[in-house]
Amino acid sequence: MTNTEPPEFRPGAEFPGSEEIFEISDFTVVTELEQFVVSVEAIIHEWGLSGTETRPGPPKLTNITKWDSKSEKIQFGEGNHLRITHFWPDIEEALEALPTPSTSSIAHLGYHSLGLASPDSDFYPRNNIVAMYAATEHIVFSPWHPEDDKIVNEDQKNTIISAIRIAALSCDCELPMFLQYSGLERQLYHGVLITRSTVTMYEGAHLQAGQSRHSHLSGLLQMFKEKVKCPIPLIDASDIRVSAQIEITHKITSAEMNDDQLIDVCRVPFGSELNPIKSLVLIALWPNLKEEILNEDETLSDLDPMSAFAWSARVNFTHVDRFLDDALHKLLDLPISKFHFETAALLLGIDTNSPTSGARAFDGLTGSSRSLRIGASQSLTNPAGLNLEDPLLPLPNEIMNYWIGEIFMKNRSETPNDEMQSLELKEKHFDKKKTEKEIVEELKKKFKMVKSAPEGSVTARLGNAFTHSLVKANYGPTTFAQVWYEFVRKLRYFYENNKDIPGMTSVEYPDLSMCLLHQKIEMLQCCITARKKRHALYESCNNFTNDEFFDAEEDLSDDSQREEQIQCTEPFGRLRLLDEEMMLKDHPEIPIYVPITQDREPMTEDMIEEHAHYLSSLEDGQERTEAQTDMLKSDMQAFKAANPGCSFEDFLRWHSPKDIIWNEEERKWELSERMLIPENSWLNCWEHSMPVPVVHQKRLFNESKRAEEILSWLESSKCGQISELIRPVVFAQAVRYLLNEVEPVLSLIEPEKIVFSTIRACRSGSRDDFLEAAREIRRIETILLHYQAIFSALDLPMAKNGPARDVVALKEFVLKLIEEEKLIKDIPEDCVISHGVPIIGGPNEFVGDSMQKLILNSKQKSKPNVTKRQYVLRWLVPRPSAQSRLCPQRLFASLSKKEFRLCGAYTDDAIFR
Amino acid sequence: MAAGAQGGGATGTADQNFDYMFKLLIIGNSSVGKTSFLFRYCDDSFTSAFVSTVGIDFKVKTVFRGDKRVKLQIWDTAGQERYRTITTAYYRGAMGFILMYDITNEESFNSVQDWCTQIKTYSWENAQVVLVGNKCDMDNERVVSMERGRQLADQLGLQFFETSAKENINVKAVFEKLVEIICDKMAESLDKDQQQQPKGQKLDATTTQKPPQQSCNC
Repeated sequence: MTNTEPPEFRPGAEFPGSEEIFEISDFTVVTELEQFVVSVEAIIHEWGLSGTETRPGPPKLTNITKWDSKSEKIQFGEGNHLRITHFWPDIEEALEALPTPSTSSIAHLGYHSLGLASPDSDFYPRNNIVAMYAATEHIVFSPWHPEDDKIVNEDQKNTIISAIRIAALSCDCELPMFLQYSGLERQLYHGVLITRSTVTMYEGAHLQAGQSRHSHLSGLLQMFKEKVKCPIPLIDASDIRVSAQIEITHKITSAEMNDDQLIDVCRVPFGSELNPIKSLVLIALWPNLKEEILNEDETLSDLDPMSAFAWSARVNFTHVDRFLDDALHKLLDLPISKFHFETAALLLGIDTNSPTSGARAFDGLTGSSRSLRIGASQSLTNPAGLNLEDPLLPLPNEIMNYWIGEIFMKNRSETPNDEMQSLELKEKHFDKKKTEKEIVEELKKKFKMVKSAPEGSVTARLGNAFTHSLVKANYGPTTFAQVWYEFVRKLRYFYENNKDIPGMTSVEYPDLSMCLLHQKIEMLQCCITARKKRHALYESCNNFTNDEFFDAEEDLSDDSQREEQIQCTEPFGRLRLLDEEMMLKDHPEIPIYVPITQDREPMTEDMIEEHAHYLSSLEDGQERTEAQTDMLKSDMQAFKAANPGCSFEDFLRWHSPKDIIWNEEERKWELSERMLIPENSWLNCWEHSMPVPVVHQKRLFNESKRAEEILSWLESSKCGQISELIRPVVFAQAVRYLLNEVEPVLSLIEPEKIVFSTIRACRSGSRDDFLEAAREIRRIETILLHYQAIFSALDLPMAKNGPARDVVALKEFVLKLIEEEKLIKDIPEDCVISHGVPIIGGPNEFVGDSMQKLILNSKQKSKPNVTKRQYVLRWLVPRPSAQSRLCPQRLFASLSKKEFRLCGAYTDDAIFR
Repeated sequence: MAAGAQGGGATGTADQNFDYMFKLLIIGNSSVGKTSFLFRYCDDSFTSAFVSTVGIDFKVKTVFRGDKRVKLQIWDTAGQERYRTITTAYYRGAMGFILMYDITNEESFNSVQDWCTQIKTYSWENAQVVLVGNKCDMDNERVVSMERGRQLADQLGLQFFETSAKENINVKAVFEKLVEIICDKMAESLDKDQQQQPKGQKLDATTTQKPPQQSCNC
């Protein structure tokens, strides 16, 4: 039985190279119990846990937050397996150990027995066994398989406990050892601690409900005393010490948000329909008091939270759908949804071929066209004038018109209240805040490189409205299509009416650093600008060309027929003098004029790519040059028209001054060597160019054709494509919004992740990258949502007006609540102990005051909703006989609606006196 | 950011016989010798006069760097003011620039700053730039000293060479240097990428960014 050579006798234990070890059978080990004991001993020896004097005692509990452990599989009998696990505090450096007892009356007690007498472990939240039995370092025997190996009856329990006793005694292992009884979720343990001088039995009970006579402190005290059976008169015994802790739960009723159809296109939707907070819990503590100070029985209770010594709190969140996350995922799912191949119009059931559909563009914008249209649709077959062509759209016209109006609103300030907010922040967080603000500013700066649409642009506002339309499920699943459809129609309206797209008046060419959708909209503005310019040019030329009238109808055909070869001797299309001193070569009395020229077509990135591709497909350099002479030819024609009688040299003096050289000797202008190359493309082009002013030239930039292309491209975009086009806009807007809000929760998140993942996604355009970005966004959205929810539950308006110090305290408290919630969620096993974030100063300080107003003074409830009460009773008495030395007795009790839990640790002096 | 570096298998173009493709641009005032420089490098030929470039043109040359084949698509641009808007459209996606002036022409040197600003405005963040003073064979007509060229390059944070397309001085060196600094930058951002963004970069030549603060100090 006392064999201490472990390896050969360890069934189930892995041992490297075990096949080489010769197995010695010890025939003194006969029964299953004995085999089990031997295995336990072997492990205790292997782990070096025998002979405790050499081992240092555990550090003070207040310094411990984590436990480390190692475990082995161990067999009991034929088919039962247990897991033996050693838990010890995981501390980085050796901390100050508990002082060895100085009082002679308890000098016989070991560290673990002393722990029972110490209030340090009362309601310790991070470890159940510590809280229940004050055992800082311990060994646990638990079922290997949670169901198959479960200990379910008293016999099994007693057998194993006695085996553990034998093993502990023979190994001289002074560690508390526990056996987990029943299912893991019940957290029910029994155990034993054997030291040289004491034996402690740990006895657990876990019921759904206790007897009513035990449901309060005085009942528990009664029971405790009965159990301890103090052998000396109570009057001579020391006082029982009592700690108590109660939980008051405030359930948050999820109020539905009011359905506001007026969206704010300045930002993406944020928040949730339901409150993410399930409940807020206030924990009130009375620590280590004398028995008679705290009274609680059926009728009376001293446990009024306002009289508690310390407060703490925690929050429970519940999963709710978050607007932004919801919208981003709907957006990313569009390309794989059933809508994928449908255009917005098709999805809405709008017949785009109907003649009236074009007129719809003016609905709500020009009242007249609507009435006209209705008039026209009256017919014999439909005498009631029912508007059969109008499909049932998800959003009523008035609301959609409001949305569209907001998107295209002029002079919209880009970030409203930005200045105010920052001021407020400065005031609120005067200290240490600066660095956090700097972090956010730096990220915002980095985020400027995102390939999206500029903040505050029409495109960005479209992105916001689009996101809102995805969230508001009550409008129906196709509202986004309506937003897109109406947006494109409005673009067409701007184009057809020669109106600048708001905020884009100064666009000269598409900004290639922006996303394609934004480039296309800018390109449309370029078309509008070009057309206005062309019209202005026609009008200014009207007095010269009476036979040419400005034609309002769009001419989409090739307009080369315009290019009449007017051989005019009159100068035409002059812009300005090139230089006062520069005269025509052949007419020294006439100065050279710079002609009005055509602009080349601005290009979006796809056009550039197409053009570059086309150029690279041409084999010959000459061909490539020919393919690009259109502008040169246009310039030459315009120059000739503006300077009748001019020569090639004159043209070069304006267009390429480096190619015309003053010959000092011959006192004349000469062509550069490269321009003298015979048959060179410049000379060729010059010779074939007729004097044609720009107004009569073929357009280099056929803006009406291009605009029509863009508009019909947008109109015919399938939903999958729309999603891809608008993704960079929506994601960038989401990140911008979060970056504006994220400052208070910066310590809980990694904001650079949303910045980098979104930048990458917007650049690559891949759905996977966007999904990754969406994940990062969701993480931050959740924490921010939680933060805001707690703040508003704790009555933010009041907090805002409070002194800065209080706001800082409140902020820190809220952050800790979120952190604590996360921490607890990470612990898989059921937590027996109420855990919470300390509220420093209790109800007397600002944070506690807010909690109190919310939880205790709630108008709905007359009595606080006490959901859990927990007690620790400690008593140092001689046991079992009056001559015995003092031994610590401890009872932990936890009472709630769902459970009644008792954990007693009863110690006897092992030395007979 | 390895954007623009295209693996041979991933390009989908007919010529897949390379590991990377770099798009380079030669810019600078009219008649500083951009086309001659390109012809010297790609064809090893020199003609005293090339037809003035209309718009943009390009040539292709494959070089080896270590065991990697690098295909250089070198775009030659028209220097005339009128072509500025056309050529700047092609800045995006270019991984390297050869900014050229003529050492016999003060004006072309004075424009370097402007060209640099153009790069900053229209190119993407990591584009690399080499400043080149061409026509160094015409020393008797020199108006811009080598020292001034070097000073300006230092000031703008650019690599610097004086070259002659005619005498074939430093032409190859310019391209080799440019390819080298592009590769270095690529490796550096790949490293950074792996730290920050484990998934790496999509190889897409059209990717563009706002101009950086650091790429040149002009």
